[in-house]
Amino acid sequence: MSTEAPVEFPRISTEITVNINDLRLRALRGEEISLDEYRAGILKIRELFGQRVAAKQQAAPKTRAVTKSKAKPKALSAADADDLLKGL
Amino acid sequence: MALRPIDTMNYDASFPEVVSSSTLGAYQSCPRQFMYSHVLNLKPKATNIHLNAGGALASALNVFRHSFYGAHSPYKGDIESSLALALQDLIAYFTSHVGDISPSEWDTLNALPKGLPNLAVCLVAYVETFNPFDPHALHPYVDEDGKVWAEQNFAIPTQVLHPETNQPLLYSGRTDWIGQHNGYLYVMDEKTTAQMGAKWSSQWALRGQFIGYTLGFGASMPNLAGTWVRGICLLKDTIKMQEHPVGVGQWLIREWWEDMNYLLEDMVRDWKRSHFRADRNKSCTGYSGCTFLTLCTKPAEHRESFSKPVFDVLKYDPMTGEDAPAGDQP
Repeated sequence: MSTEAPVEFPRISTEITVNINDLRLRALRGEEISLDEYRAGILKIRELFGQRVAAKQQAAPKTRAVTKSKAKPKALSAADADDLLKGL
Repeated sequence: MALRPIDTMNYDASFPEVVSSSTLGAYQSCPRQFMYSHVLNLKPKATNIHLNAGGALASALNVFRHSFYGAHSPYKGDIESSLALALQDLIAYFTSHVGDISPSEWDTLNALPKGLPNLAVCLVAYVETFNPFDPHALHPYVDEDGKVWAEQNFAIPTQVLHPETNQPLLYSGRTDWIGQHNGYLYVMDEKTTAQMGAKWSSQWALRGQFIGYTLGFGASMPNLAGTWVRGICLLKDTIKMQEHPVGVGQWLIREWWEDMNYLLEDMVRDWKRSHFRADRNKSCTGYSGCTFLTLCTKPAEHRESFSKPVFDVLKYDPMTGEDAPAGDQP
């Protein structure tokens, strides 16, 4: 159940900001806002999320920088080598 | 009883009958801060956008849970309608707490990670992260009556008597919701935060709030299996979320209970001797600064005149999580 590393989401777009501000101003004026209008706001956020997730998945995978490893190769004894060869 | 540090301030003083982890935390941080906030019940008039954001998000997620999981909800199992209701609640909370602000103030708030649009995105991010349809995830417990167990609280008598009523002081806790998985219950607490580093998940093991939850909720929930903390990190460019179990052993509960009762004795002692000392150390300037810095930096005889325009007298009720007027101001 635990998410080992934090799940990250990109921040808001201008379109979402404008849309939410519009709802806020209408609420402040006491206008009646239907559930469908709030639902449309949610759908817009989910749609943008979907697009960003898809774009991220299509992007080329990051290549790892070449670094010198401090780990030394493990030396194989003759017996270990024989065991490995038996498996071939 | 007149309290020495505030006898020139002419506010009614009363020792709280119910304490919580935040009450104890205020006293541990600075006894004078505890006196201002929980004995004199002074609350700043100016809204704090950071507090608003956490409260707004908690309220909206609560609406989502009742709508999506409630057996009698018309939108049971409907994510988008339940999120729409949560968004409606979020905007209502924000407008009622922040009010009508100028376009430039709106722009300023939007530049903050805890601005309203980012909170709206956070609602969606929450259900994307903790998918309500995931059979392996923790979901709210719904009882036989179809009621979602959200905003649950408890109160247990301590070993320390109230200095005026002589009744045991009550220790209370209030959690966001009770989760369930495979027949076991879990206390669920959500924390909004401004940073979520690698050590975020390791800071809760000794947190008194969660130890108290285990004792308090465990008394009435025999199948309580633990506590989980969910972190919601709102940054300028991104939103991060993660959850983490908090294990609390019986030995830790015993130690905490003993320490907590000693702490309550200290609080009652301060009340009886009419003196709550000031920390005058890191708690004065921690985070964005102590709320009462404006009082402590003035001579005692000037504090009342400074306090009136800045503070309301509102008594916090740990059982409801709300502030209520604590009688007429003098």
